[in-house]
Amino acid sequence: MAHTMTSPEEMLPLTPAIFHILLALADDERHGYSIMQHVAETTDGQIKMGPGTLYGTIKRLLASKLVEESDERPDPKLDDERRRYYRLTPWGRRVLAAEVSRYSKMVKVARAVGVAAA
Amino acid sequence: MEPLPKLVRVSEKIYRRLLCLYPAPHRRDYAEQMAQLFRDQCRDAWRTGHAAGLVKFWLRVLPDLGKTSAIERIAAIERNQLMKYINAKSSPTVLLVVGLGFGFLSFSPFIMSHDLFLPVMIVTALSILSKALVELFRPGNEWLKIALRTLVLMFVFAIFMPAWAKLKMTGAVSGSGMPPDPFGVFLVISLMINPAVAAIKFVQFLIQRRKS
Repeated sequence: MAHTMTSPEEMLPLTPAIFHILLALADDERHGYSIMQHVAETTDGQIKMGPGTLYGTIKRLLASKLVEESDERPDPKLDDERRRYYRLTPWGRRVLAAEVSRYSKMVKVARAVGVAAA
Repeated sequence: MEPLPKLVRVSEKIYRRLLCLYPAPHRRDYAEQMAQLFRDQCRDAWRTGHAAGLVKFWLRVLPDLGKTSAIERIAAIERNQLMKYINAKSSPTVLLVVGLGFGFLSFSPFIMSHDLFLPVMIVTALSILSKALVELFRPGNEWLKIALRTLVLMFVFAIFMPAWAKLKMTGAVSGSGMPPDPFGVFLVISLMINPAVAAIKFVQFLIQRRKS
């Protein structure tokens, strides 16, 4: 899944794990635990990823240049300085936006057929 | 920072041990972070449900560990240089050339006079068997190339087989088995697997075309 694609749509659909991790990184750079907390909060605890899934997905996101590791380290007084922080790349943001747009279209279709509330 | 309960510390120790299920490069890059995340989640589970919370957490983590370690192991095998070579597009052709090359070599007087006929034939049989096995994992749309290679193989072996039989009958070859010759049977099976694979790939191609 290397970044050799020209259009973000070629990366779609994203797996739920990838989608939620990208969404968690959309507003801020975060470390693994913070990503997990964000995913649990935004999904009302419905999605709980284990460490294996989280870091396996992050590894693939790094390889496909959707996220990158941040050089910044937290203040050792406030947080564990061994934590690694990740952030969205511009390419990752475009892919996430394309996926959100795809979801929006699906919601419109669902509303049109009476499955979702208008 | 409050001290971690003993059960959380023991859980973390066990989890760190279990991380050996992942391939070494993955462990090198992510083991520390995974263990750290596990400890954080473990602490949360303890806060919400104490021992019962920890048990629930372990029941969620173990399938995750089993599944993702298997995925990483498979990915590591695919990254392996040998697998890259095997998966290379040209590998069936290379194996075909090796198989046919050693087949030609078997007629050399030097090979026949030095008891090398059997080892050379073993390489031939293994090469054409490997060709078939590698082709079995190629995509269905390569069926025509596979069929062409198989056609070449069958054509050349249609010349080789009677020649080998004649050599054995005249006693020109030493070191080959007496009838029933198990190696001869293995060679024929290795050969016949090739058209079978070509047929499988053609059927796979037809099914894929129908689906699309």
